[in-house]
Amino acid sequence: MKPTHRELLAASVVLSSLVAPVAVPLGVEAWRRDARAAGMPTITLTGLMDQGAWTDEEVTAGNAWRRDFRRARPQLRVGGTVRLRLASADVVHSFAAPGLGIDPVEVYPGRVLELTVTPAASGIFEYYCTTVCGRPHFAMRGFLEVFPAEGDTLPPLPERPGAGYWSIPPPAGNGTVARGAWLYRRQGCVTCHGEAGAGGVPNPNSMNALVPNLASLARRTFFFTAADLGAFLTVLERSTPLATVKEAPAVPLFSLVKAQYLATYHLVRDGRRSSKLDPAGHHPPLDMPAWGARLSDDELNAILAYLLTLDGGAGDGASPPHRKGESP
Amino acid sequence: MRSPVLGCSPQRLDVLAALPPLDRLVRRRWLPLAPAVVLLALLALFVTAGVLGTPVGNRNGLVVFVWILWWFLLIAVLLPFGARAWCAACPVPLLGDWLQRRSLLGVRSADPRAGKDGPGRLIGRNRYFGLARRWPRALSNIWMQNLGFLLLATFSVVLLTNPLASAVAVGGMVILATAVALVWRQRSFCRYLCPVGGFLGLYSLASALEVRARDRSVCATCRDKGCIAGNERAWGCPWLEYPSRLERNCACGFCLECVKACPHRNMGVFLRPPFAERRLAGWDEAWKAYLMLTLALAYSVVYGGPWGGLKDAANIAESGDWAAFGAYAAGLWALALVVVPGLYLGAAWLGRRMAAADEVSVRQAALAGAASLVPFGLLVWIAFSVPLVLANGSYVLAVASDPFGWGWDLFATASIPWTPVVPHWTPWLQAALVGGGQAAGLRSGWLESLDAFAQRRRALAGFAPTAVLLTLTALLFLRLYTG
Repeated sequence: MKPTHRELLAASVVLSSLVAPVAVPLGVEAWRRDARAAGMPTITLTGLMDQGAWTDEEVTAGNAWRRDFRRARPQLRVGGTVRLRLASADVVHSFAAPGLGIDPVEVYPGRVLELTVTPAASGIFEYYCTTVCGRPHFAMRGFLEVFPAEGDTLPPLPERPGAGYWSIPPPAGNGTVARGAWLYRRQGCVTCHGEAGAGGVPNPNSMNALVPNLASLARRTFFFTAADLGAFLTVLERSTPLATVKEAPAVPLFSLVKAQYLATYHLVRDGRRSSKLDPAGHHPPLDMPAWGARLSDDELNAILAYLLTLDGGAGDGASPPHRKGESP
Repeated sequence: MRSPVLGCSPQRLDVLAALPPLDRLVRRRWLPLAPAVVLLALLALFVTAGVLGTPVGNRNGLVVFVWILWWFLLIAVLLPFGARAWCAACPVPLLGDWLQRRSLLGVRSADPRAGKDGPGRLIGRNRYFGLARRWPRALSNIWMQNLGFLLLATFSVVLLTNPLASAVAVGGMVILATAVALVWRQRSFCRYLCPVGGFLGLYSLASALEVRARDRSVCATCRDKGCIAGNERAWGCPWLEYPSRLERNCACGFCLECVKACPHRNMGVFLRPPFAERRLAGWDEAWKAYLMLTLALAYSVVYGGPWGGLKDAANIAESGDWAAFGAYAAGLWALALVVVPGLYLGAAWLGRRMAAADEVSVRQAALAGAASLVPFGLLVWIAFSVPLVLANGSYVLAVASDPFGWGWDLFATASIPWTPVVPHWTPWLQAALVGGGQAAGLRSGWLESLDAFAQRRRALAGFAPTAVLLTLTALLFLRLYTG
């Protein structure tokens, strides 16, 4: 049977119905991409909660299962306007780069948000996700490098602690302090408060400019010897909630210690919004989250117990070091 | 004289006789090809979105248009009012049909006595490309469809949230349908393998539309038999049915080749009262009814319930917890294949004992009881699907403008926020559907039991345990939907 003209036409239509829905959208998107690039340089950043990163690689349904997307490290020039296209591959994120005047903007999954930025000064500017989007949220930070001119260089990017914190395995033992140390990392506290509570992570426009040091927490809780701290930890382990404990003869200044400890405990449990240094400026990107919604009382106590043991001064009476920019 | 409008039953309206323009339309060879090609283009578009679009399910054209819009239209509109009309325009077997027939619009017919006039195998008067084997007799039932649907249902949360998984499933079905068409004859895939076809067949019994012979005596004397053997106007029934003897909707794909083929214009499309057809043919169909009821219940719990842990267990793509998923899957399969069927079989067995009807087999009693699950199952599936579309319908508008999630805004609707529609009415609507399903189910089960047990008193005793179980099931649905 020789194909008729109608048959050939029908075959063409069927084949077109298979090819056109693939080719036309891809062609249109390629044209739009070229048109965007012709207007101004464009950087697309996609938030990936599972990976705790913003990536500048293309994330599609076909490759989203990957866990090795490159962490974005956009490079800009002073005075050069750049279009930032922000997307999310999973949940609602919030993007902020306070150093470049980008206040937090919410990025909804599956939608593209465009904004433009024209850096006025060179340097390294940190960008953040400011909505707690999931367990790896605290790693969703990176750096925008703004170069003064072609060929110039910038200092090496700072290291941020706690890479991959959400997947570290639990400790082998069951000790409260060991568990607290693990939780401190596992929950991402380390990403802001630093290794061993050293602090020092910048929090632009916050009162102290840096995230507070926690290594001196024991002294601030009125522990001056390792024995005093040990006695308190015993009380803590055996008598929860601590608020119900009236007296503990083995712990000097117990009522004072208890009041100070509980103040810290409540701060960790309920969180605290950072105070602005410049009231007219942007809100600091890092706030203390309310961990009480995610951790049990025992887990909160374990983290605090770990932090209390960080103070070397509690063991030998030596003064803990004060760091620049931290409140004693 | 037989009325040209009213067909063989005074309760049925002969649609094609009542609407002559429609009658002329359905005889065109480009129907149902034209809508199938449009749907094929949409399918290709959505599968492309499923691979290259955003990974966010509720912003991806494949997930939103297939699992929200298409599913709702299929279960709540097409199936109740159009039986298996979807199957006629379904794009999944289109390429396989094309390969088999080596023609899209024409009919490759030949006089068998004329010998070979081209490649392919002669079946009736039509010549088909491919091996055109008969489907194995042992698999000539819907068990494969039951298991296929259960398998897909097990991964339903993944399909609903992961566009790539949906693309693989939908694309895989097209490839499978095409491959099957090259080996087995005509629409063997649709009839025996397609997971969607299985439940469409079951619930099409409750539909208000049917394709039937207008007058069987005409068929009895017909020498052409083009409806089954094919002729120069049409292909023989692709669903391997003898259209003149059709009594049930289950295996009629509404392609209307028989309407085109019939030289006596004796095949018609009839509008009939809903739930008019009740008889289930075998255990495979009964199990399909149990399975569908179980899945409606399980989906209502997983999707609509407050048990986040269950949802996490079902969503293996995100949780990665194979132990929890394994427990969920094992529970679902046990419930669907053993527990719920066991309860309804037990009720049928008890009813048979109460009716003291030894001459009625357990199978007869069980099939009569399972008949009640056809209208009930259809309406609880609609009740389950209603909130999906009311709550998530606004995504359809947004995604229509940006089916890939690339930042397009074709119809200026991309920024429409998620807006649930009449959420406070939803439980009432669901309750009405469950109540209506229960009433229709009890009626169907009762009428089938009357047929099976012959006497009213014995039918009452025979159906009573199933009726109680059905009522308890309806109460469970009401509890889930209304709290």
